Amino acid sequence: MIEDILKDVTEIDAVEGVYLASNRGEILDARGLSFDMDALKELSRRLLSISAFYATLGKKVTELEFYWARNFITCKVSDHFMVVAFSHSTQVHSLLRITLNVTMSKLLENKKFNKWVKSHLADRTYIIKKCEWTEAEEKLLAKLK
Amino acid sequence: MDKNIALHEAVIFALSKSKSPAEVTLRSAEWAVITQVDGQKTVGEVAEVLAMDLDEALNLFNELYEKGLLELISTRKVEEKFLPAEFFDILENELTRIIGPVAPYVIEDVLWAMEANKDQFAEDREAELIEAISEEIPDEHKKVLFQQSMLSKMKDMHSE
Repeated sequence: MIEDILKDVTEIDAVEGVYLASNRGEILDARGLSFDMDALKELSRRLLSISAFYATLGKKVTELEFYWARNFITCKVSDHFMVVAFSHSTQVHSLLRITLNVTMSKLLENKKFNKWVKSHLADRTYIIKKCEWTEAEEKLLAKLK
Repeated sequence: MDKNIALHEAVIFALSKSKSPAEVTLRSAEWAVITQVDGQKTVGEVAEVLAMDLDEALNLFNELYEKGLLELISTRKVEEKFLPAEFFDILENELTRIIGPVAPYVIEDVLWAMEANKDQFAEDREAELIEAISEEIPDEHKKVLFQQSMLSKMKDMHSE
């Protein structure tokens, strides 16, 4: 089910891979990536932290783009999950953004997938690890206020 | 840079054999470029690896060349491919289907903002054009419908 939907993303040249994560930071599916699950979970936690911080300012984050571990990361965020793509080239970014937008739409319209994600979110065995901002993160966030 | 050499993203440099980077003081951005120069990567590819704007990369390469730290390997430029007229017919039809008769005017406005025209529109900017036009569609659902439709059309055209 998800494989077909994510195929459009992984077929783009210069896209290394893509993964789906719930808004509890758990990895739901990953395609074509060489990173281990712990690294992806940690990345997801950071993305959720950024999203949560903007939410405290009354702003909703739907897209995130940055450079990490020699990859360009493009992320689309919805209320319950996020789609995160890794690419090696900025030349494909327009195509990647369009494709991620369409992919997100297909996922949101898929009843089975949404039911699965919501059951994942309701499962109390998955808990985001509590953490504190690092000094560098605090300095960056102070600039955003 | 030699006046006869036009610096562009497809130019390839190698480190100079006659002068070492250790002999001069370099900024961190210049050092970053030096670490990527291998006689094979183009200026554009180095800019991508370093997540650098192309203009910034071109300036850095020019400065390093002027300091005698780089040797020119190749200035070959890849021939640019343009989108066929048929693409714009498809684009206008799809956009009209989504937003109505203002579609041609939206396309013209976006092309003007991109400093481009239909007659010679670079093929590698196709997705950029679709994205820019999408941003002109205020309704989120219609925007996705347009993007989905154009992705499918683009796939069909490229597979022919």
